[in-house]
Amino acid sequence: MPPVEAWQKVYVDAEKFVANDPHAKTTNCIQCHGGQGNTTDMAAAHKGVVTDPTANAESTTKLCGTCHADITKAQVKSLHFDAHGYDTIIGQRLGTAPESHRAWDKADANHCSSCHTTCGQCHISQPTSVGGGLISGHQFKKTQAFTRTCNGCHGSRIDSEFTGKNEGVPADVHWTKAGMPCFKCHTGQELHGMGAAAGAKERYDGKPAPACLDCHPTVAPGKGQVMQHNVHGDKLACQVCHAVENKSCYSCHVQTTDKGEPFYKIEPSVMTFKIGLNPKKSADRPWNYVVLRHAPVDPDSFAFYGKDVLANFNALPTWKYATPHNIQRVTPQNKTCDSCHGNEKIFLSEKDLKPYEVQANKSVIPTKLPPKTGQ
Amino acid sequence: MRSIARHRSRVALAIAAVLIIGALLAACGGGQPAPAPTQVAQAPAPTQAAATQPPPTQAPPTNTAIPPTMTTAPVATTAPTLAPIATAAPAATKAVTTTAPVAVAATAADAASCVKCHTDEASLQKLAKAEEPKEKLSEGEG
Repeated sequence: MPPVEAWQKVYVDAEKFVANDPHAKTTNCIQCHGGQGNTTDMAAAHKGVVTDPTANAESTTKLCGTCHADITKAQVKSLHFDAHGYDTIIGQRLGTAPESHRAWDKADANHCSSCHTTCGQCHISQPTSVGGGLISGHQFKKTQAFTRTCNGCHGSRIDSEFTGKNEGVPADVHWTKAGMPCFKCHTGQELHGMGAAAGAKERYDGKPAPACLDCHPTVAPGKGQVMQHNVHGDKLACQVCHAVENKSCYSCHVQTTDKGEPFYKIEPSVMTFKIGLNPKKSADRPWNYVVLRHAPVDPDSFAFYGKDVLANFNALPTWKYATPHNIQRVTPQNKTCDSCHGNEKIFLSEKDLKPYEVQANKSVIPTKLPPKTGQ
Repeated sequence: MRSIARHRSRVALAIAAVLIIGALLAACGGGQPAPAPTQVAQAPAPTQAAATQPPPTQAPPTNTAIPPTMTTAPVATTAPTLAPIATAAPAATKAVTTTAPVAVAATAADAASCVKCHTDEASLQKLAKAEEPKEKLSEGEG
């Protein structure tokens, strides 16, 4: 995220916000942020100020829900709001011991759920996790610049892929050729946990949304003239042929200082391109093969919080379902048939695993590769 | 002869007096003629006339109504204050509408100092301080 000056972080634009934003006409500073009026003393004025009044469900419902009831109702249950996707995934690895769950709750509060977002942290300011700061002089915008919002949390991996910041790896064609911002595909419905995203327990719950076919209906098997699309049918996710190297992360360990300040240590990320069996196979995601990336989980990632917190470590693969954001029409693996068929390098195998994760990944390692075709 | 003439004149006077009295009685409506009550019965006409007059009688109340209108004028002064709220929260729950006007009116003034300072670029540049960078404890990409 580009740095923002301290004064800019709290600058309110008299024209854009105070004079013209409807929200400034319906409420005032103190009603949302608290603090003390009728004083020019800075410290006194800021006593009791709440930087983000939409940080909890109750206040969000009270403030935003008054006019935006449907959105607010969904938002406070969305993945974005409380990051419960972590609970869904890590929860499966916890095992049955109550101590594990207590330990996870602590770790989650210290390290994971602080990365959640709120109405304010998308529509008014930068996310708190990157230091906050008003965007557009406190003007409420339906869509702020993704460089100031989405990138705060999805910058190091997704933005780097999408805009080509990974050395030697091209940016996504949707960015280079169409300049599409995140919101072009990821609609308000999805981001607020509405429609197909309602009730999602994790990112890849339910139907793919957005789906490539939403904009490219003729690439569906039998719907167009491209032989490869028709031949592969529903066997391959689009990214298998059209994504390139993406970021895999390893061995994240979390803990706190004596003063309770949370921190982490993680191994350097590695650019990988691995195809594996679909761990999320369903009627909604019927493909046999998908792109996988390594999640930074280790059996002792939460050891600071207790012994064997991830007692059920093998419940899920550490190579997880992925949708890299660096789509290309032509990729190394789709240049010819045998660029992929029989190409050991691009299929996940035990060689790619540490000994302690072999068991966890058995379900996603192809037992045999698609045979070479000679083409 | 003279007495006969005197007698005749007295009789003529008496008759004339009787006629005059009769005529007077008739003119005054007094006496027997029943039509008099009938005429009273016709009084409705003038009574209706009176009924027509009430409007003029009511007119003063109309004039009196003006002051009340004047009295409500100040309400109109408060209307603008209410207007934004109505715009603000049409669906914005009626409960809020009940209390919001007062709250907004009261705190809008309070918030003026917030706005004054936070819209003043020069003041903010003087007063806003960057948070001291925390010691970087974490290692690796976040």
